[in-house]
Amino acid sequence: MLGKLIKNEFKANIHTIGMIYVVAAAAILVMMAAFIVKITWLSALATIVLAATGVLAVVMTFVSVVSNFKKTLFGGQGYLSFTLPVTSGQLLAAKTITSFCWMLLSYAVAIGIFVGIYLYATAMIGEDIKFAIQMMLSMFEGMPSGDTVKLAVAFIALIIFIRIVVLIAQLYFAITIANTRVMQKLGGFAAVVVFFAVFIVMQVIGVLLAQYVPLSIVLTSEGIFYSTQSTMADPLGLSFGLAGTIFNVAGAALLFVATAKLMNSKVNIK
Amino acid sequence: MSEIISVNNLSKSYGSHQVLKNVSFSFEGGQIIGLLGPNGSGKTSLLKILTGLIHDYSGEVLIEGDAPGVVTKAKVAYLPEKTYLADWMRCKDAIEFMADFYKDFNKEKAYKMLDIFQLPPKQKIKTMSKGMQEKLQLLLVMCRNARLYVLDEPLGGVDPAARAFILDTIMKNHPEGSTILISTHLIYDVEKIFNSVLMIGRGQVLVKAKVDDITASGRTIEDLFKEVFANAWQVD
Repeated sequence: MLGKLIKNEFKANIHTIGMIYVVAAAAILVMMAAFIVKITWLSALATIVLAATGVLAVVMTFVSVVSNFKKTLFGGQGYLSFTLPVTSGQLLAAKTITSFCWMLLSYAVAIGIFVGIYLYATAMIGEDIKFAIQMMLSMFEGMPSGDTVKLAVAFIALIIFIRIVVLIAQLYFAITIANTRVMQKLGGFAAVVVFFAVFIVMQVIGVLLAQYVPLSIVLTSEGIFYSTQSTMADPLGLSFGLAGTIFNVAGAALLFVATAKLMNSKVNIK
Repeated sequence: MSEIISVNNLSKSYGSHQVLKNVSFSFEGGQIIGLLGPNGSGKTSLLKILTGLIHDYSGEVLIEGDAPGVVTKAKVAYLPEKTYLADWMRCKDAIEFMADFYKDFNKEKAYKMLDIFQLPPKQKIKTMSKGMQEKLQLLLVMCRNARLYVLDEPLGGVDPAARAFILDTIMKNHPEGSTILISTHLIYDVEKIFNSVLMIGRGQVLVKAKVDDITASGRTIEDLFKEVFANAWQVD
């Protein structure tokens, strides 16, 4: 059933989020055409549209994740969602997995667009693209080997994945608690207040734990190391406090459990 | 026949407002039950509990021996008062969605009924009139081979011709041996199809009777309804 829920979640989301990627693809085609036939004003216009699309992809995905969760569970569609022969946990898992994929895609597309625009602009002014790529890769020059670079990229990707999941957990918890009978009178305001309260508290605790608890991963010119020093002890290295990350993962898990429990017992479908 | 619905000492409150007070009743399967009561009598809350939409109640509710949950949701077909389909869906998307989740959903029958109901398979739900959306939702419910059909005010807000159509659809499409629980306050139109009635007012069961017993006393269900609720409004 989880697979079917995920399939239908993707189908539902593509109608709201999909359009932005169609616009991005169209802008890229126009840019390429303008580059070939050398129409400068069209090229500039398409570049602006593409840059805006990169930002919009992230914003629209965020808005869609929030509105989809609210509409399909606590609006009219909730009558369908909550009478399906599935558990609240399955509903929540399907929504989390699809939201995670869409958010990750939006970040990747936004980064891709801005890197692409940088290279495109380089080509437009007649400079060497290979040199531009080498310039971008020079940020990894401090790393001793290709394997270390791969490890560093994998580690940073993992941190980004965790950040996305934590954000989804915070959003879902805030929306769900705002749709309990007690909070429903306050409407969307309650969701905004709860979200920022949870977000700020978790952020502050996470940062404090990352800085002061002596558990960290340090990226240096010699490679990646596990360290029993706090990040405060190594302010010059690229270090990630593990305690903060562990706290965020545990916090997100707790928020998901609380959300599922609230969905089961306290929410009111309008 | 075994009991399809069994409710014991069911109470439900919204804050300080109690909508169901120690309600107890049970029904055997294979019949059409009218859940009757004026607006605000607790009918929808009762149906939401039976369909697993409300969990925070006290007392015991069983559907064929199981508390409302994943197991009962697979055998209960629910038609709520509201439109519950997503705007982006087309008729065929809604059919595929139901077929995905309910093993008892008859997809072939659904496509045939789309044709009979004159609903274009590719028309988006957001472009449909309210009447068309209601027809589609009724179709989706009645294409399931469910053990219990829970229909919340299926006749509310529709003209007499549409009411006849809806009743005809329900009667022709429910499988033999299944149970239909219809909540309504429009008794005149439906009383002829009921086998039993449950009248609730102010959160309490006021009447639970077989239709044959009511008519044997020379009264119609509507007569009894008027009699019961005329008194019900006078007492607290």
